[in-house]
Amino acid sequence: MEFKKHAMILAVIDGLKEHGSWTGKTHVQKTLSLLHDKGEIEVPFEFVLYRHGPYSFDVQAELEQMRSYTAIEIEVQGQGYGVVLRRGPMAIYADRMGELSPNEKQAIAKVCRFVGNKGVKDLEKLATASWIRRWEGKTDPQAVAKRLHELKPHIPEAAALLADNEIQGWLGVTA
Amino acid sequence: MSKQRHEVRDAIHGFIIFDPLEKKLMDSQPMQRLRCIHQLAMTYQVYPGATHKRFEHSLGVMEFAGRIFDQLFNERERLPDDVHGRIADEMRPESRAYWRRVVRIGGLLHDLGHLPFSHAAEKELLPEGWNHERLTAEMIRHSEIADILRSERPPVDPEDVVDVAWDAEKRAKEAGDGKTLSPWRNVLNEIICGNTFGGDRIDYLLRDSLHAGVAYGRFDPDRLISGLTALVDPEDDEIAIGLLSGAIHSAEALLLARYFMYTQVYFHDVRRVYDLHLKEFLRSSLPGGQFPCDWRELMAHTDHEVLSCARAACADPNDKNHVLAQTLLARRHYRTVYELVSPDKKARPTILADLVEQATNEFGAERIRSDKYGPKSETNNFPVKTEVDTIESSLRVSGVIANLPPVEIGLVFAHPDISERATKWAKEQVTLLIHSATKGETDNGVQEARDDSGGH
Repeated sequence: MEFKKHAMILAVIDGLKEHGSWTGKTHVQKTLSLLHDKGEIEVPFEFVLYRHGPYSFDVQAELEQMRSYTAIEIEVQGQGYGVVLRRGPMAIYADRMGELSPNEKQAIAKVCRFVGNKGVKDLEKLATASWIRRWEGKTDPQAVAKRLHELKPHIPEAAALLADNEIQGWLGVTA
Repeated sequence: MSKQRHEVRDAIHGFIIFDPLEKKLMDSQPMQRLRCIHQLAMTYQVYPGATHKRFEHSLGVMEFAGRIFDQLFNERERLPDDVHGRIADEMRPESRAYWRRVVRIGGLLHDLGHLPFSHAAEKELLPEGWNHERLTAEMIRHSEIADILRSERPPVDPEDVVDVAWDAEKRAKEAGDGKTLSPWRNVLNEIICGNTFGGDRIDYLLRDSLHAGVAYGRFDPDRLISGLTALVDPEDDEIAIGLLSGAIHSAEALLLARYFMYTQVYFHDVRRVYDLHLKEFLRSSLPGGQFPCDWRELMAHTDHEVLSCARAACADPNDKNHVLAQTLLARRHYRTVYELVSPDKKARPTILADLVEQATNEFGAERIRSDKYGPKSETNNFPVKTEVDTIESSLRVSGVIANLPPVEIGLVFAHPDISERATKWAKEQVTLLIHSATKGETDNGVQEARDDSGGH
């Protein structure tokens, strides 16, 4: 069992909740994807481009694993779509077994501040724009927006351009 | 004049009707090979009736795929305007007829690349990066299937068939070919491969439960399909397959059926140990310990060849695979000495790995086997259209769907000669392992955290 991964996911859940996030599975997925793209710390999950942007089957598997020993619990809430993730009674066990370094904690706090209480549609745009820059090597904002629109036809190019602008700030891209 | 309409009797569907192109595909060598591949590997060692093959399942998926397509797209009145606006081109009569054909053919061909005994040995016995879905795509693109599809008038593009037949999730996860399907193709892919409403799943649950003789897999497919509707999913603003709220109970029944089929049939402990023994036998008997990943060579491998080889080895004490063949064919399979249960895992998350390590030390690696799967729950979060035309998540509409537990197995097996002793030993060890974990928790505060949360 890879408790380091579990501790990282728990830190993301805590950080997102602190900033008022809904903290569903998609929020955790996209936050880890943005952290992965940023490259400040090693994020031990593989991501692929899937239906709603970058997605990690590893993260999904670890969430299942964590739920099975109650490191996390899921809750269906009255409002909104999908489930909310929260710490379970055995979260403390995962925290201890997979203790994070100060660097890791700091990087996670930073990405959670950036994600804040953004909704899943915004996160899909941002994480996909980040993916295109980081892994497809596109640097021209128009090219990123065009590719984003091509992947997600329901996202207009103007909205894609705005998302790319915001993601440049996150990735620390300088003009 | 040649017949334009053919029919075949089927255990699930009654009659399945098919056209001349589908007949040509059914008669092709890659399809005929599926008559020799058991749908459920060696599950027949536990459920003797489970001897059905991939061939009839493929016909069933074709039938369900066509019915789902018709339910979603055949009547303009049933199609919401916002959906129609996005797929107006695909809904032109000639285009719709083409895609209906592609979906049915995708259902028919979706399992072509299975290895002998289906899933039992797939991961370990193919080179890295290969699986039956990729082999299926190769056969559709390069075998006589491609010629049949291209020679039809109007022609059918094999790549369209690949896009709908290759489970999009597995393609993204394992193939790494970077292909992202358009929203339209994603919906067609879901008609065959979808978690909740896919024709593949609907057919295999019904068919497997019928042949195994268990009631767990039964549900009402007619009510389920009649409740399907195309809609724009508010979560991602893309077209998707949703369900009318009146049919939610049929979806609940399907998901419960799947849960019970997994726990009672697919993950039956004896069935799982037969998979392990089969893998060991194949690894030892195949050249290089693997199946070929060239589809032309794979065509020569079916269950028949494997069983024939195993029977010869079983009858010959001097055969290097004699003992392995006996485990498969003479009921010399390893016996279950421990089965992971949720309370044990919650008390000690690493209990299975710890127990396997200790058992191996105690009895020797040769006499111990282990197996694990999951925990895995399906993504059962699908859009439901309510009676007042709002769209809600299935997890909010159905408490049953929201609370379906993940499937997880953890098994330790021992050689039949030591199984009684090993069972007693395992019971004692598990008690000790849990006791030491609980003591550790008390020492470091985990127990207090559990108590505070009113947890499990």
